[in-house]
Amino acid sequence: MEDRNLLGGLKVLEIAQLIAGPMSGSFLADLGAEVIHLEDPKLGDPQRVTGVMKDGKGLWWKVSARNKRCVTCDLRSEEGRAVARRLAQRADVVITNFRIGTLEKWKLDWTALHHENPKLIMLQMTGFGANTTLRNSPGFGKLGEAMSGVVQITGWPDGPPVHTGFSHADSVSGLMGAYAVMAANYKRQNDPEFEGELIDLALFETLYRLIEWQVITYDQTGQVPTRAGNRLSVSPAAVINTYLSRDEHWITVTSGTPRSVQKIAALVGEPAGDYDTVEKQRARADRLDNLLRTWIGSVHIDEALAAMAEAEVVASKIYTVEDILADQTYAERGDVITVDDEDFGTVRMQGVIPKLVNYPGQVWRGGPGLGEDNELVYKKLMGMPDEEYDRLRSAGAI
Amino acid sequence: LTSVHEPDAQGSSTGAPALSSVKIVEFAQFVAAPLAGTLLADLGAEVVHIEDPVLGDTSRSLGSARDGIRFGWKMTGRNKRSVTIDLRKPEGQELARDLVRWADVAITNFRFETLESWGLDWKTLHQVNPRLIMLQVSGFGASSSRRNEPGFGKLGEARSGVLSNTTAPDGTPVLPGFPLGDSTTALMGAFAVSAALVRSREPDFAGEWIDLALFETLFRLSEWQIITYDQLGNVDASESPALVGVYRSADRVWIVITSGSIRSVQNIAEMVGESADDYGTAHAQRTNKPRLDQLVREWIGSRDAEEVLGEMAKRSVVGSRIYSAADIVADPVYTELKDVITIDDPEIGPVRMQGVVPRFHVNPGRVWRTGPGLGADNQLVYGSYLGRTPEELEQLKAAGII
Repeated sequence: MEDRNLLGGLKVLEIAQLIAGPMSGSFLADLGAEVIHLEDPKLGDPQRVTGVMKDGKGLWWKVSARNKRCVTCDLRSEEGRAVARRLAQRADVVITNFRIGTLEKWKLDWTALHHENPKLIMLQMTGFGANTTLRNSPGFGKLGEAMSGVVQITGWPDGPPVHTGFSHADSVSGLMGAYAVMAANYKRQNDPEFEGELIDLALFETLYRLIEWQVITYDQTGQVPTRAGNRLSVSPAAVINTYLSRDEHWITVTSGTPRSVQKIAALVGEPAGDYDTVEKQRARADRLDNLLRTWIGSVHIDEALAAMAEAEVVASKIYTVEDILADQTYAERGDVITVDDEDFGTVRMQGVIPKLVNYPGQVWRGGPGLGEDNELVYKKLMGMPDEEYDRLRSAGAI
Repeated sequence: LTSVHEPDAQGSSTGAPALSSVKIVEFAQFVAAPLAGTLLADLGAEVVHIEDPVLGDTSRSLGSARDGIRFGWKMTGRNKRSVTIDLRKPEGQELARDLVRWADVAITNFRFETLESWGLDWKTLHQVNPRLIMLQVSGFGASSSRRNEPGFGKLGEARSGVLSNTTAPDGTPVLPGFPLGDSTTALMGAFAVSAALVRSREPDFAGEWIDLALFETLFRLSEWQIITYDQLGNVDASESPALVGVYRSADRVWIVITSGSIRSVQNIAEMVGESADDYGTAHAQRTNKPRLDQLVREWIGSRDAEEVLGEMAKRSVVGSRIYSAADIVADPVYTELKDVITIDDPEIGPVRMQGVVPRFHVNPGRVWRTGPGLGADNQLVYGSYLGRTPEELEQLKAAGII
């Protein structure tokens, strides 16, 4: 099992904070990349105190900074910036989500870093892209979601648009960024002429890309996609909705094929002849939806799920975190792991996803303390002499 | 290599896209696996998509149509090669294995037992091509006792925990308006494949099997979910003092407002005529949050969107109109980024769709074709790539194998 780090040897520097940029680094770190995360010596990354806290410590940080090296560096000082540039020179990948104007002022922008490191891959996350009139406006995940079109199509037609219940734009951007870095890295490794790569990713673009039919539908029909509630506008006969059981658990049902609609009809006692064509199914879709709601509302969740499984109706409990931790499949997959942590003893969090059989990746630490890896990174990895290290420390530059 | 880089709808590239030398074969249907292939194709990979000779990919017959032509496929099948194989026939399975021999990567989302019965499972294919990278998307994962159950993106969403946090104001869970579970899985798959490619040119590379269950990506992305419960049990994550909400203007435009820092909440408060002093601490913000929410609702509800957005910009209140497809196409930033491209389709003429995301400045990806016709590339792939003779192709066709 020697060298089972898929990305072992890949050097990543993060001049980035909060969610979207660092999450890209997190995916790379999970598969073995060396990820150095730069933070302000006094304040640290605001992500350290984002979300729910325990004993004055942010919990999310333990996950979002796991597997990383944390060093401090004051980018507001010239000496700090010089250190950051040295780190960027030895890096294969720089991930940033600072504003472009700020990076230019600090000489940590693509032009400056690429000049010193011609094979550099730089992932630059922004709110609105590198070359737009809004290039220097700050980016926010909720705005990215609103701009992508996804919020507009989530919710009921007569109700407000609904934001999905996690950092949707930020985290899918993080994943897209990790993919882009790996794709660029493939060329870096295999093309001797490789001249570096600037990956320019705006926060709204990933969700926009993923909603594949949105633009083409509008382009071809002039129809503006809108909210359809828990229905699929493309298949009006399908039984798709969320339902509450008698013991107050939510169930999602998603049965699209004509045969499965017949099975639902049979389950709630409807005559088979009323649902033997797609046209009839479409005409009775509301009736069937109501009957199913009434039936599920009258039984215990286990009974509802068992009966639907028996009838080959596609349904699932809508999992809460408690359901996840109790679930057999999650357990069999090893998706929930326990990691030792200085502050809390042990903490449970997600394992490495994706699972690669030969190079499985690992979580070897939770999010480290501020500046925890200063000595290792500056002295050992960068080769900074002790005197210089001490001087920069006392000057507050690192 | 040359075959892939046909004329570019966007123009302006300086060299071959990042994944140009990567060869991928896909026996996969619906969003979760084929979208991984499209994302890789967007950055230059040669992706051969296998379809049933009679029915074709199910996606071809889904979605809306214009003049009798369904156009969804034009987007979802873009940048790929389409070949036909009847995978139920042994000769078809042999042909598929030949393609796997040719390829660096195989992408699939058929059920394990189906692949095993066809001799297209990891074990068999890894013998056929010891350097193969295989992305296998399934409902529950290879190591699960439920491995052979069918997978559905909506179930993945439900199982991930995301849905229990996505609710209408009355608490009813809302299904995201696009295949969220499927698409994020596809993106994770594209990442995993490109990461595995890191080792693929090493002499002792022994292949890689990527085993991805449909619920795992969203589960992974909701980073705080497990640890918060693990450390504190059930806590109300909405107890944040900041204001985040969706409001409707007098001219019926939905607008999202978001905040985080103390100052950002005070900016909102001042905009609707409150004193910033009443929102100077986290405690005060929490106490006054329902009042502020109501005031913002009324304030926005009594003004047109233009005025609201103008005032928000002036006061550094963070927010946005909630974009529809029409807003996207009309938006200056989307235009500046060339995120909406127009490409010629042989059946429907010029058609607009998304450009390549992520954008590479040095060697950008490109969209060189819309979703091809069924079997459009049989000749090229079987003839040029696999070296089958015209007679052999005729035989395969006559026998209904391709």
